[in-house]
Amino acid sequence: MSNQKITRKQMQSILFMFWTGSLVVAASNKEVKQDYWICLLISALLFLPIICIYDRLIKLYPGKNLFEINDAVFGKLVGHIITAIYIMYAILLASQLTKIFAVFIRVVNMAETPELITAAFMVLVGALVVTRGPENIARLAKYTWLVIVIILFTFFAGFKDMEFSNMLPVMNSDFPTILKVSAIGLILPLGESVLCLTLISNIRPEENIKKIFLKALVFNTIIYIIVAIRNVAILGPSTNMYYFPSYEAVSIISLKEFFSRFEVLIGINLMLNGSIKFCVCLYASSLGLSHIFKLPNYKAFTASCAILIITLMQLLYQDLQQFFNFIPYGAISSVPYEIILPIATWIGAEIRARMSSGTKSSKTSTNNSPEKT
Amino acid sequence: MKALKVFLVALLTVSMLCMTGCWNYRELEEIAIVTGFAVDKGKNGYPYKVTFEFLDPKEQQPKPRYLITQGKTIFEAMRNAIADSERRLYFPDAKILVISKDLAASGVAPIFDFVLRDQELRITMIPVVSTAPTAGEMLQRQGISSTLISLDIWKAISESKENLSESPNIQLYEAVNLLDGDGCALVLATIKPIQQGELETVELDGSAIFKKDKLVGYIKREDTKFLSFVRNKVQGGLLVFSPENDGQNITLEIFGSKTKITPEIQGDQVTMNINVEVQASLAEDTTVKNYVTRDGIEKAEASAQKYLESGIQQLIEKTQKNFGCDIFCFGKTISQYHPDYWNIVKDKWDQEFTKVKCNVTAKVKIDITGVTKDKIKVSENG
Amino acid sequence: MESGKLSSQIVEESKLTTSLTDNIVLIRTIFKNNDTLTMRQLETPTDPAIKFCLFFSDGMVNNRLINQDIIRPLLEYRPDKKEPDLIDLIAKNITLSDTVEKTTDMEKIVQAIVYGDTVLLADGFMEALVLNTKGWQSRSIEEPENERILKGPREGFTESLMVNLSLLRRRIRTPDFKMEYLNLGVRTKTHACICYIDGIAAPEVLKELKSRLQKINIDGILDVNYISEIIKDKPNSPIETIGSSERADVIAAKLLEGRVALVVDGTPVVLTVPHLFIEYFQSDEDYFINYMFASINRILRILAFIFSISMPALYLSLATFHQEMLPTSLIMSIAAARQGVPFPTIVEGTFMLVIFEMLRESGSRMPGNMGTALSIVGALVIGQAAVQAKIVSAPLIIIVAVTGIAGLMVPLIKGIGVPLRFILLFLSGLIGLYGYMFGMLAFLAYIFSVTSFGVPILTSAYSNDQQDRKDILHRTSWKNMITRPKYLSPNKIRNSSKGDSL
Repeated sequence: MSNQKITRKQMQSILFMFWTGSLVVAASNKEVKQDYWICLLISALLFLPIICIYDRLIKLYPGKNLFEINDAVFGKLVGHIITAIYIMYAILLASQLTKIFAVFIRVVNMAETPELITAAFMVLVGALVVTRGPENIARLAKYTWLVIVIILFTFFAGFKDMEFSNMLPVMNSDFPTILKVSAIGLILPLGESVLCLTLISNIRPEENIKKIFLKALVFNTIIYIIVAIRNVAILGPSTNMYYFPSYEAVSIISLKEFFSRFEVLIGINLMLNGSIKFCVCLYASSLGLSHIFKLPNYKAFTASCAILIITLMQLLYQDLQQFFNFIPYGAISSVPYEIILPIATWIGAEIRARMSSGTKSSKTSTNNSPEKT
Repeated sequence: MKALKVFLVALLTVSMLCMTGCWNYRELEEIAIVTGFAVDKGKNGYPYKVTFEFLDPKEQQPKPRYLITQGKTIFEAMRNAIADSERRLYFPDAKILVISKDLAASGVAPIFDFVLRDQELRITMIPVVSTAPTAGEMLQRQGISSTLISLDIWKAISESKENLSESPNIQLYEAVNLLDGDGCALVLATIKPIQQGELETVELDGSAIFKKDKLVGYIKREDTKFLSFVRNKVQGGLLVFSPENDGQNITLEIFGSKTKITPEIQGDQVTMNINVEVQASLAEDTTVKNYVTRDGIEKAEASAQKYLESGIQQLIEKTQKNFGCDIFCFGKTISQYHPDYWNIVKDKWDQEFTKVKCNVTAKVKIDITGVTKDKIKVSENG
Repeated sequence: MESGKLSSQIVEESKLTTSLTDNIVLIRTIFKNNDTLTMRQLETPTDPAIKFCLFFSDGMVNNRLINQDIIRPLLEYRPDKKEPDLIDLIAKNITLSDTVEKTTDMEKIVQAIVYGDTVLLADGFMEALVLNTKGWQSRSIEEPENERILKGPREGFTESLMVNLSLLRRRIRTPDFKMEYLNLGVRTKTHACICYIDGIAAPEVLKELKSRLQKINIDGILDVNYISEIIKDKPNSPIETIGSSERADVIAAKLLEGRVALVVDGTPVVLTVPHLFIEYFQSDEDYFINYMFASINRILRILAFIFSISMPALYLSLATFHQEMLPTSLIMSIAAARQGVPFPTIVEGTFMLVIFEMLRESGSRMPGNMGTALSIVGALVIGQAAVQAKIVSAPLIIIVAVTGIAGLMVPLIKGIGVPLRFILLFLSGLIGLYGYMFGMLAFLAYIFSVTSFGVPILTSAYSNDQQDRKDILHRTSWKNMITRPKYLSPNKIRNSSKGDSL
């Protein structure tokens, strides 16, 4: 079963769904209002060097996942500490995601259902998918097209409700604010894909990592921009009053009275994307634990991580306001995991590569010199 | 042993499900579908009196029923309704929100805020202001085309923008945007009670103007049409005017209209250049002259343009003089094109608005004249 | 003779001797209480008298073959002396049978007698000859009942292994078409045959199949389902990972695509491995009629499956959780129809689905003359009267009826369709549409991970090749079907001639 490798397109789909997992909360920002789409573009640009870092790491250590790379670069002890940090991060991320999902359903749709139940569904399905192997995540991600179709459909259906004058004036906010929001957009959700590196060991070795990430990034940015434009154009200046502007925007759209009120589709979107992101996080944490404890099979830890996640979810925040206010600080707190650690790993890997190729090149030069003279 | 484990797990799951129940499970026959509700100032010290019009699912034909409750807040009034009715009210279908003029005069923002925040109320509801003493009595009148008056009102306003353009079609979220945004004043549709034969029903009656969120005045239906022109919201409707000003009218049917407003700022003087382009057809000619000729059409176009220009100009001046609120969203336009100037004046825009000069140019193009290309001639002989 | 041993045990322990009388006694002991055993003793008419004895089972043999091919040549044999290699002589020069085998294996001898062959024993020789004289009655070749098509071949398999193999051999005449015999079942010792086309079939699958069949240790194989449940990848899963069919052309087509077939004596059903999920929806009729119409049919079948599992769940979630998605007039009419119905929708739904399953099951087993009674019960009592008595509501009857009809369109998938229907119904009764979506997600995750002999059954999930998708949702024209499904066969090119020669 684990002989099947993940293909290029599947990895793209996984990345895409991973990034759009938080689409529902990340679709607008009250500091920049209608210029949010500019921030999205800048975030994408800022992410490019990180893609190069990932690509370089994979090239230096082909076929290994994130934890093995850490071990090879930093040695066993430090590598294991770093792995533990990543595991913690993965579990945190997964519980945040579950909380978003449960809260979304509670706020928007069904207020009486306890959050535990809806979260339990997501956790159960995620655990089911992960225990059957990482290639199942890839196979599920193939259904990205459904998400894209829904988003595009809501965009075009809402065309006549849109007032593009809501997008003016452009560049109303000053540049430092835009940069700040772009940085937040870089970290969540783009930077979280460091966890996807744990899946990368399953890709066929000849694939071009850069192209995969780039294609997924382009798709993702386009979809985010479409959603941002749709929300702002339909809702106008009151967009940021809502917890979930995407939901409200779609609830306004109606085609001919019959086909209206399909905003539940937004919930379905969130569910699909969030499940993939959750599966990746769960897989990363189980894999990390099995790596530290030197067990051959990560499946032993899936259930425990899942229960840990759902317990943590209930302890995370006191109320929703705190959750939304925390997002920029959460971004800062993720910087060590997403930026500092990968960069440190990359630098360490480069140093090691230089050291080992340095000894090799000295050998070849002694071979060449007799020919020269 | 394994069978025992499976059995225990299954037992736990099933008992968990059965004991906790399905929380949001609502059977269809239990709900009473509210189609519209009206908010009034309450008596006996209650700030709010709410009237609901809802459908009773017991009947095969939908028949409206009413419920009147009072409360310290609107939500309390809504929940008090359960004490009176056996069913839980179901709100996602509510289409109309009628506000009485007294309540509108003291501010609509709290009402809107509640509707926006509530999970079940949809933000596509249409708020209207009632010119009758109470809003509740409006809901208790009878509808003409459907048995529910809320549906009647809602349909009338929704279709008005395509057929009559004499009522603003502002949904609740748009109203909130108007309140929230700078440089735009809130305008809501108005309804008044009339007698239609034996039927007591309501009729659309122009619009109500708000300063900030308080009601300050009304605009007639004809003027609302000009307002819609300025706001670029006309999709259909009629232009009825008298070219010779002698009381004999011709009717133009509007097929499309586009308005462009460009602000010009020279020093402290703001001039708004309003450019209206209308595409119409000559629908009816009740004059003794014949406008269904090449010259006639040109004359009709010219006088239509003049009619539009003077109507819009008068409306703007009247608004500036009487109300002082920017219902034309000039401020918003300025903020989009000249954001620096807007930052300077936005705090005192209400005064600045009265000083704005307007330059209205209209262009009316009549391309067809119905199915006949000539007018009926009444023969002189015999 | 008085030993309390079973005949099978005697067979294991004994051997033939050179004495004919001892051998006769031995065989008669083995076949004690077996009155179909027939014995024919012969002697050559000349001197020296060489004694022979024939054993066969009455009713299993073609008597004429015995008379003409064995007895007559033996009686016409007039040797001058007793040959030392008489048995070989008979085998080569005397007997007219088409198949002759010399053996000393008691097991084989007993099998031969039981299966319709004749065993020839000669006095003074330890070896016996097994001669082919099979000739029992078997059903004639007719179209199988549950796999009817409108246009195309109508040959279905019968219960005889030889006939079935002949049907396949007639269709695939390449010498690469291999058929390997094996025996299954301790007591039934059923003959079976593994068929595959060398060079196309995946060798790993073949190896896996053979090793799993070796491991079978069961009393008797009466039908292929016994085998398929034992050798399945996941015996507890309701999903079929081993295909089966009764039609000869279907099996031949599957062999040509690289699958391996298992033909078993005694049943007309032939197994094929590996089995992909999409095969539930493929019918060979698709290939005999116009491809556009076939594509529409195929899409209809897939949609029918999706409807049959989703409709009750969707109706429940829309009517009880997400009423805002329904148009107002529909809400009113459903509410009016449900006035006075005492049960909640979920109870109604479960109840009606169970009743429908009962109807279906009884309908498939009843004799023909009860047909009218059943339709009266179904239509009038349940449909009409239950609605009027306000036990169930009319919209639900419609939903259940459509669900049922859709479910019957793809009969093979009932195994997972019916339980899934109920599970999705319960899930959507819990948290509405989200429950339904989670159920579908879990279902998808489950079938993605199922493999059939190493090949994942939902290959469309991740093959991006245009060629791999050409036969899944729709059937493209034969001109475009250039390669075989990637995961079934290492040999990809289906026809060596270019497509445009067609």
